[in-house]
Amino acid sequence: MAEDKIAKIARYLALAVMLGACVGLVSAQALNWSSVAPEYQKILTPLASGWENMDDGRKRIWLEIAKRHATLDPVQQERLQQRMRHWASLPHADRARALEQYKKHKQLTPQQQAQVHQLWLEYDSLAEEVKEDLRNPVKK
Amino acid sequence: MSEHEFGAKVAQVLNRGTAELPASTLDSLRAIREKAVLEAQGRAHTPAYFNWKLTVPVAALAVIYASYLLMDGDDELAQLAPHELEARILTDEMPVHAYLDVGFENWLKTKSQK
Repeated sequence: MAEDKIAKIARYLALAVMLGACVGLVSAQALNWSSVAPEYQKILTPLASGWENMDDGRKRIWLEIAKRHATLDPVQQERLQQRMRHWASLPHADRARALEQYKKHKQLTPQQQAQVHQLWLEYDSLAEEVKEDLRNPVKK
Repeated sequence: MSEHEFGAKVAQVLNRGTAELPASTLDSLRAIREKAVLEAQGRAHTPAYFNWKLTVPVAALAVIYASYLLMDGDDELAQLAPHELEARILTDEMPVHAYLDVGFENWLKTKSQK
């Protein structure tokens, strides 16, 4: 009797494992580039070449961003297209640091944010050598 | 009459004019002169690098820089799902690389300390 019970439990466990594997397989296939809806593929085109090397978590984030695309104004849509590939190529630590800095920036008043943006434009217009010196002040 | 003689003549007339001024007018002129001299001395003691016009923008920059160092981040943003936060940074006016450029950070720091 006990052996029958053990065999029954083993069969259920094997079935559960098989089901889990099937669900995982279907889910992974759903995140393949070819399985992404054409309208989202169009939005995510800059990421197409690196898509299969991306982990599933990142893929899901990009799919969610693609879903929001229609709610963005044309300027925001263009910025998204221009920044997508660079953002995807950043190491996790850099993305995390940029997000932290962004959150701090957004805590400033609108006037202060505008001032920082103006300063960024000034900095960005400096000669590349000057910017390099600012990045490595000890080398001077 | 030479230029020198003409100048001496003008000075003579002016001096005679001053001597003929009423005492009250002379007192007022003396007071104005003394005030002007005192103000000039005060300006002479102000360090050349100290400029009130620069103080306000530099103080504003110092506040911004201190905010970057001290703030924990926006509460509302902290509640957002990762894709919502990433969508915001990717569509914001400030480019992403501005947040990662150490040169910009140093530049901001230098400007706020001037």
